[in-house]
Amino acid sequence: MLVLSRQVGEAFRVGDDVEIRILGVSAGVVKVGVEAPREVIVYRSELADMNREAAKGWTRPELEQLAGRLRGE
Amino acid sequence: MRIEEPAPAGSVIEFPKGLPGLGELTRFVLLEPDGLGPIVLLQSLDDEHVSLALAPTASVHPEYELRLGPAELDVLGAEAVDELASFAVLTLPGDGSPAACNLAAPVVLNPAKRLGAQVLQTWSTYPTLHRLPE
Repeated sequence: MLVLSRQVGEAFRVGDDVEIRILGVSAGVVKVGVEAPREVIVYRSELADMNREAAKGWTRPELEQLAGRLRGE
Repeated sequence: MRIEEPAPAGSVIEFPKGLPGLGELTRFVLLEPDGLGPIVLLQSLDDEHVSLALAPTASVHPEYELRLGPAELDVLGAEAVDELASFAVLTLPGDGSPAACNLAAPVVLNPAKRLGAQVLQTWSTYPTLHRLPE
């Protein structure tokens, strides 16, 4: 893994088209700004983890129970 | 859940940009197994082990509002959100907490053009883990 140190206000690029700038650091939270072409999808990594977890598959009884709850039964 | 039934002809839904975390999978079918309504299954045609359970956003959040930008509408081949159907991905968190659904990143389908995308609702405060009714 490449490790970079940046000051607030400084930036780095991923390829020529994506720039990531450190906007601020406060109480353990880093705020970053991403400039990217609109065809590049930017998302929190948790979303990928959630999709992988969700895609592992459900059992039929689990889904039946959930469906019943959604139908208000 | 593994689905044995063959995909009906013409039912393939293309996700041109795939889905975050699911790699190169772009071809899916939407299955509506008996007795599971309103839940539907988005089954990958490229990997039989990958299937997402989806609930129409209106079934989990009556006032749910979908907003898309021009680029997102473009991917979906649509001109306005009223041409599209939005679904929340159902998740069972690994830590044992109850089933929830993701309202922050709905799966959006264009039924007429057979196109789909997962679209972040960054404008909103919709949660990634929305509790389902008990």
